[in-house]
Amino acid sequence: MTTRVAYADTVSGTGASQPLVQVEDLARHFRLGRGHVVRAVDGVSLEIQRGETFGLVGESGSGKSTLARLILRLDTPTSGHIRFADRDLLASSADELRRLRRRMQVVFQDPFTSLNRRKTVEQIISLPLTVHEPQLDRAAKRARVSELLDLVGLRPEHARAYPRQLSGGQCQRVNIARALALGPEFVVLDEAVSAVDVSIQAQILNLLRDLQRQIDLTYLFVTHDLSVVRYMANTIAVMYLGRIVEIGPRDELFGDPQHPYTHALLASIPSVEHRRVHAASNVVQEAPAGESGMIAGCRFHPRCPLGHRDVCRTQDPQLREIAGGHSVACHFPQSAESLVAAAASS
Amino acid sequence: MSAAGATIELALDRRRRNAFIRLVRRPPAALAAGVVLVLVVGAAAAPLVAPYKPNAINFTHLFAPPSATHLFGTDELGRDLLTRVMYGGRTSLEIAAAATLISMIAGTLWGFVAAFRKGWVGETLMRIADAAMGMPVILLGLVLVAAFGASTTSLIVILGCLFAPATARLARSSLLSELQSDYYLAAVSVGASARRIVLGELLPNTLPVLLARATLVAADAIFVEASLSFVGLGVQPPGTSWGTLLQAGYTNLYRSYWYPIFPGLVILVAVLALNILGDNLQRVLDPARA
Amino acid sequence: MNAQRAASSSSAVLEVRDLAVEFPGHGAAFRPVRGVSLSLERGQRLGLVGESGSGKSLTALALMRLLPRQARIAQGSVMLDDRDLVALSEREMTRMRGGRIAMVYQDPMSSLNPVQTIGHQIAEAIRAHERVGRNEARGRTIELLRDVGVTHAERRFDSYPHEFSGGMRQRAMIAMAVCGNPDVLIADEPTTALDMTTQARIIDLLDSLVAERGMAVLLITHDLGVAGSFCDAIQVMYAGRIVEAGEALDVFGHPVHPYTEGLVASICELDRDVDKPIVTIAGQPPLPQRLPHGCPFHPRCPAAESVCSESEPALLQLRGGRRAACHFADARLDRTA
Repeated sequence: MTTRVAYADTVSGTGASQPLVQVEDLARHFRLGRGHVVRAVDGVSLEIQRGETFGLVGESGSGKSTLARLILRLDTPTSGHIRFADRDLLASSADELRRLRRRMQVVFQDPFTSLNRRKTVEQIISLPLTVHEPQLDRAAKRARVSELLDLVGLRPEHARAYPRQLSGGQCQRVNIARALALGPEFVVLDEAVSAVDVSIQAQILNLLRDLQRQIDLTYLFVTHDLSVVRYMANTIAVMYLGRIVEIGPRDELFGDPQHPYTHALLASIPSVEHRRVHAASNVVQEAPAGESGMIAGCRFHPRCPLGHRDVCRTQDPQLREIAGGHSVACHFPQSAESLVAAAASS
Repeated sequence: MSAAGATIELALDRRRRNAFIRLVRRPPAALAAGVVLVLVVGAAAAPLVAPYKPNAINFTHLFAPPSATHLFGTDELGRDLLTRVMYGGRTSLEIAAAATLISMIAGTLWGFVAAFRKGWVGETLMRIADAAMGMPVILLGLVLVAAFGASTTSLIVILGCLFAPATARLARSSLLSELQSDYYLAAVSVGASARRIVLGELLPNTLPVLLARATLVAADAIFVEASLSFVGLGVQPPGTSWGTLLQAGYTNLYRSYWYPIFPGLVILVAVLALNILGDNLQRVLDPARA
Repeated sequence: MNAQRAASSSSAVLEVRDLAVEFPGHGAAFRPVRGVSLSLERGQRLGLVGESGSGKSLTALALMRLLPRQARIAQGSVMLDDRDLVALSEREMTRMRGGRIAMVYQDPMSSLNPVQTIGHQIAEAIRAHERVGRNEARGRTIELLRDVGVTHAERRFDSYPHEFSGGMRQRAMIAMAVCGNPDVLIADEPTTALDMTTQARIIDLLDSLVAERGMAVLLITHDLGVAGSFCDAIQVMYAGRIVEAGEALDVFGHPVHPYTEGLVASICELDRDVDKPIVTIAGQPPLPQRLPHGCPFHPRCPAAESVCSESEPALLQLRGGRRAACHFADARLDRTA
């Protein structure tokens, strides 16, 4: 079995209490023409503890994928700090970064385009090995690839296949195998199960949970699906237009959600039991067309039933802790029922 | 048979249907490939398979029409035209092949650099390419030959330069689209060096498009060389190419109407075959079909 | 199949019988749709549910006679009231499209013409079916845009698709589809490309349109939640055939076919027990070129027996209007009841 390389900062044990990933006030602004600025990530701070699964939930435009890419250093932030295993990722030299990359990997959403269509599965999975462990000869690499294929539930024969000959679920398993090739500590799953069928999604989720137990992985699970994130994550952050609007441990967040956007998301989950959409999602306006430039005050206020209040229109709410580890960025956090009632009365 | 096994079986099936096989299954492509093969072999093996020596002057058979002994007839010095066309082909194809190689390498480098250097460097490179493409190729060729002379080397370099801009455009756009894909990001996240990514990951995906372009460049190169030689600014005597033969035939048109037909036909067939090949290659290698 | 059958189901606005779609393959031709029968009543919402490769989208395209060029309808009939759509000429079918039967697609960005304004496209669609002047078409378009929930409809008439958000584009597509007052609306994954909150609203919109216009809707989706929340009746497709049919609550609450059962069990719903692994269906769906002998689901079926690999079960009629294509359908139904 692929045992993970013990990294210096984890051996001593003092590393265990330090969060594996620390993000401080991270921002990523895109300057388009005509003075237009898109604030994809606008002041996000979070911590991911070792061994946990951190869920990042949001819809399109929330900035969750941009945030994931910033953490992986696939993109450079406009401002802010990122620390991985207590090392400043932005101040690291190219060599240091290369070494750190062994420890953090990613699985992308589209199973097909994430694989180089001109390479076989074996070549794809052994790329990280070739880059970081050049001392391995062909036979050793092949053995490692076989091990990894077995780990993700594929057969040895799959090594000779090309991506176009595999199904979406199989491709995603290859992506996972490649991510695990170097024995990383941290894996970012960027909508990793959003592009596969329901039954395959279930298989992949089970696989991810098994792997986490077996190899002691830390996950950043990015998704738009609240039900899946509740099943997978310990801590969940809800993002909207570049900011975290609500964050907390799973049971607290789902047990007592407080932000109007969270209520809207929860209410929009379709299922046979809820044949009419919940009242809460109806009180929230639909997403506006076009890019939202600078929204004064709370960035959710144009869609919020209580958004006409002065404080919402002028002051941007910061994340405030309301219970153990559960924080909300809202001037009037409340339960779904009271939100609906307040909306009706205003 | 398990579902996984079924997939692999299908995989082995599909391998037999790789791009090359799909290409030759199309009748026009197979025919075109065959023609190109015949031309290349005919030219390369000329010293071995030509019926006569290229400079075998025979004053008794001046301007002989096509016959059993002289399939293409003879020229103003009694030399067998078939032989001369074969030897002329050596020059024409040599020049075209070398020019294609230069244009593909130069154009690809040009395009790749422009793709990576997004700022003013990249833009400038592309504007130069656009400007070059705005000028008619043959006209530009004439100007360059007038400036740099018409030796074989200079012809090759000039032709290479003429076709590089369009290749650069293609290489750049192809690379840019590959840079959008997730497998590129995955390679970056794995920590692979830039060199490994460009050569090992990206280039193989741009090769099909570039390969198809190469056949079209070859076709163009043959045509332009023939045109330049026809007006006397290409291959110089005593060298012979299809273009010079065509010119000689044109000069002697009233004495022997068949003289220019054969070089002209060979040029036509070569260019057509390469175009059809390139066209079909493009269609076969188009990722949308895979 | 014969006149008597047609007369007995006269309330159905759309009746599909034994539809099959064939593709030429390398070697042998194959059928991704192998005999689908369904009937849609006026004002009914029917969900056609399946995963990728089940043939559901091809079925929709076949109903609209919009199959890719190399495919063909190998057998079957599609009766829209009194006319068989399969037998119509292309000209006659063009008249039907938009007027009697219309379709909404998954990705509004690629289905709308990017160089024409939204208003122009919808007005054009209106004028394709009725003789109205430009001004009247414009007025009707604006009214229609308001109906489907596009705010500032007057202004939006002159906007281009790229100026709309995803949800609005889908609304515009729906407007275009219903402008001719079709009897049947086929929606092929209409909300898959949209955000969750937008999805909820689009489903709401379809809801109100059905109520207002008495349109029948055939919703095609892989999302069981969406199908369950919107549809009255569900048909589950697997390997080119319907394997289970019934009322939505029945099919999801007490599935009969092992595939449906497995599918329902693998949904990650909000109140799932986080400590238990999800029960999944092993393996993956078969390719239409390589269907297993007998029941196509048997290699993955936990309840398979020897008869399952020998003969393919027909879609059997069961109690309570339910149908399932399983050799043990009756026994399984008794167990779940």
